[in-house]
Amino acid sequence: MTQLDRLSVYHWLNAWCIKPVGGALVRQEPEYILLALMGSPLKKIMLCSSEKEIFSVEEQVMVQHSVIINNMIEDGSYNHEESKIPLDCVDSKTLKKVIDYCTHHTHHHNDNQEDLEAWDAQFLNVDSNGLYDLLMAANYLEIRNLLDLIYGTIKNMIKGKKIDEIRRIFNIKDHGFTPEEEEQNRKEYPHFY
Amino acid sequence: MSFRSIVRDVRDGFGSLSRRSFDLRLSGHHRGKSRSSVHELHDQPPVIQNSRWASLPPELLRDVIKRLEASESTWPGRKHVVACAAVCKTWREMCKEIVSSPEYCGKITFPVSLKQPGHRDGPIQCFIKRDKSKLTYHLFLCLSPALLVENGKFLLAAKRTRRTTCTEYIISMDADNVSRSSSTYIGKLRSNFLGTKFIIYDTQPPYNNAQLSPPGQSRRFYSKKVSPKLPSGSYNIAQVNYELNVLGTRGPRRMHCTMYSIPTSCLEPGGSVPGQPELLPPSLEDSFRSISFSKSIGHSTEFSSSRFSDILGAGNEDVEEKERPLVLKNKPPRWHEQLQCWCLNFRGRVTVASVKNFQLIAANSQPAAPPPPAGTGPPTSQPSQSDPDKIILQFGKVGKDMFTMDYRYPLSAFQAFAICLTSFDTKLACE
Repeated sequence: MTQLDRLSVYHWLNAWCIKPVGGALVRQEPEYILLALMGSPLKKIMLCSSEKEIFSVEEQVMVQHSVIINNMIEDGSYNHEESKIPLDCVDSKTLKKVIDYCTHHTHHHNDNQEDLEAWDAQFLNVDSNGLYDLLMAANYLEIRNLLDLIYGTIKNMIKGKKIDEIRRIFNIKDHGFTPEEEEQNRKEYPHFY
Repeated sequence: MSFRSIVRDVRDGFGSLSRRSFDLRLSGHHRGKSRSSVHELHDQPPVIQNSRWASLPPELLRDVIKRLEASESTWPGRKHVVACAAVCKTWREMCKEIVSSPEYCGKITFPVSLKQPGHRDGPIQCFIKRDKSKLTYHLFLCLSPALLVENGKFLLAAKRTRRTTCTEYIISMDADNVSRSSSTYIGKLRSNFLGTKFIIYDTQPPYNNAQLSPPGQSRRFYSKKVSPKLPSGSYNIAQVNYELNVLGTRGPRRMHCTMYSIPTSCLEPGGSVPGQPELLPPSLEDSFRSISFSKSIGHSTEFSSSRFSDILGAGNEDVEEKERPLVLKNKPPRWHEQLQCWCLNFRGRVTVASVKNFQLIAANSQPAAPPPPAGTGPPTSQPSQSDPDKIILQFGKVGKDMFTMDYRYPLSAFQAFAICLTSFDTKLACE
């Protein structure tokens, strides 16, 4: 069976799988059904974090979301037998989260919008450092929808906050203004502090 | 030496700015280092960690701020963009790049937008609220199209003080504290005794300050050590004159505004208003660094008794045709025979008849010398710049103490507000 056929069967199975019941993830992962039917595993690729930890993830999942990885697979620079993709800019903790995001969105792309948004909100419930790492990783891997999500979150973190609060949230201790400039800021926008 | 101690030594040796760039270099160059190197970097004391968001890579910071700016295009949401510009230096620089002046986007964002020319494509709609008991006037940006809804973003405030020989209006960015000594003072308006001639003063010098201040005036040099508490300068940027109509009081009065800080060339295709203030005003120390700084001219020379024709030709002899100050005049209303009154089409923005109502258009420049015979020289520029359809400033009454003000390029909100204030004070009435 060609790759394309396998993918369409995968999605068809995904749509018909058992939905989560009462919050618990009682699901028959389609890949296992496929395994049973086809007797061969879905192609996996290896991603290597900056800490040299190796993550195995379905090729389709990463190809769907990451432009960089998609290009690598398409132009044939990735050899399934031997290669792993080194991601020196992404540490293990962040890479795991990124893989989590891509996997969930591939497997659950048929879910209704509210569920997906709720999951996304929970996913991005991290501190500003974690968010920064995710932003860098999403940018490096060129995962458009994750980037959009992160930008939206940043926007909401800025909106409605006073300037001191914004600096605290984003851990900006050294704002870079001269004392005169900062004094001028406070005079011009007294309500913002 | 362990990697961690090397990092610490190098960090201590750098200043804060280089610390930020050092942080960027490190994060891109830890390939091949020991497994725990990344953990070590993240565990460093706050001095490297806390500048991560401040030193976001430019393309990412641009995306963040661009999305914020696009989603908050009107007030009150626009204040989030202003807040962004005050969070830290790098964010401010990016905001400066992304937010364009009202001239191009029609949106008022930072306080300095009030001194930048208005939108080229159409009027920016505002309204003025008068408080007769406190002698104050407040300018607001309209947030809704309805005329009498008091839903506006505060822009400027003015307070009137009567003196023996003149009336003065102090203009400030603070709604409650309108005083000359406040740091939010941005200019003033002074009238002569009769209320027929007004001069607008700006705290910032116009582009042609060297030409405007006549030689012989005393110039003062300020060193950097001057305390920023000294009042800022006073530059004569415009004069507004009122004259009776040829019909005397039976016709609407005539208004002429000579904008010294705006050359007539700004209305030509490709023209612009030079000498605009920086997007965000420099620190007070910078403003005192300018070398020549002429104080306001003495009373005796303040109000020229010249007639309009003289004003149109005012300026130094060597000022070129195109650099003549822009002159605005009020559009003459038409006499409506059936209604027996003077009519101007305010396009629904003015609803109460009042002698204060006016529309300003660009006046024709001085008629050029007769064009040279063909082939003898470069063609002279066409003198007509007046476009009766382009109302540069419109002001009128809509309620007991409510007035609308619509302004556009090349006037700024500050200049437009000052010109409208002159209409409150003038004594020339019309029957």
